[in-house]
Amino acid sequence: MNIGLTTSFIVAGILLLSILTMNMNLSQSSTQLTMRQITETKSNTINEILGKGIPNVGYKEMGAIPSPIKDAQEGKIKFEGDIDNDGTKETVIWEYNSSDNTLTRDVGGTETTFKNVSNFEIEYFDSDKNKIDISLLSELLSGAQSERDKIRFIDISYTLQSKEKVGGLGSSDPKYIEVTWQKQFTPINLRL
Amino acid sequence: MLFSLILLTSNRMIFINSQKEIESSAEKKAITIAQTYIDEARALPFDANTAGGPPAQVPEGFSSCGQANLSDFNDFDDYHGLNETVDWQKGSGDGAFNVSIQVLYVSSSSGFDMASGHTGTPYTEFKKMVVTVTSDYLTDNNGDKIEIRVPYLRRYYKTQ
Repeated sequence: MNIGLTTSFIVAGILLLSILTMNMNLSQSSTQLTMRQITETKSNTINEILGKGIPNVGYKEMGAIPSPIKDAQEGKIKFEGDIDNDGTKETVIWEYNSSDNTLTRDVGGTETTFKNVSNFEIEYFDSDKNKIDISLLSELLSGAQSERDKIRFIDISYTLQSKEKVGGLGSSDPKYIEVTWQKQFTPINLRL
Repeated sequence: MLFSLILLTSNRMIFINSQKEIESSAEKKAITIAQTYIDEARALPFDANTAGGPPAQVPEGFSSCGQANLSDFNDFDDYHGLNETVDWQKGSGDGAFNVSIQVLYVSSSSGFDMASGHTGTPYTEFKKMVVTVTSDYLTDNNGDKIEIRVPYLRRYYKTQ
């Protein structure tokens, strides 16, 4: 066999493989970016709803609802507020279910569920920004309303995952794209 | 030669994609940080002299902006001059974002412009807070740092 021809085939083969790998890398990178943008958009929806709801803890048109936070756990908050400004207070519950990675918002029995939430955590702080222990707040752990009335700051963080795993080329394992969000809320009505 | 050029371009594209991913997350985080400070400040009284009700004369009875100790922050303008670092991931200690805050008295006659704002007299019924967030992760196409600036204008309403 012609040595020159064989060498040409080998070089061409290596080149072809390299081009294919490069193409797959590029495609993977673009998929990752698109997937992140989709996840970010979903996250923005949750942020918007949280951003409209939590600052309205205890809100009513004239003054504020006394003791508006009815339950405060690490993965759950239950509060009252006239969030649609119709003169009637609503009970709003945000609750995280880690077994199926869902975050649910319940307003007077009407539920909205967000899927693929891999982590959701709420922390509560008093007026001096000292963290209040959940055991003092949680209804489940017989926390007192007087302790919940001390809450002034509510810190919420969550991680939202992409629906599908991305990657897996070469030695890396495919993984979910994750968007983490964290914000400290200062509901004005908790200060009135 | 041709293949090397294609490879370099492709690597560059992958790098830019990764950079954009981080930048968009950093921008979002920076805006959230700024909003957190604004939310916190707007829940406080307009001025140190309005905490117990309106002063005898408005706006002459107000006080100058600023507060030295973080533990003494109890009104809106105390945030003036605050410089802090904030972690990207809470508790990580990475100090990825720098926050600086300005709170000044502004007036409608100057279009609420910060450049003509002031910390002392003549006091007005308007205070403007501008939260500036910077980070090594927030850069323009030339690699220069960009500033995320979020303003908030507050007016004093006499309620008693």
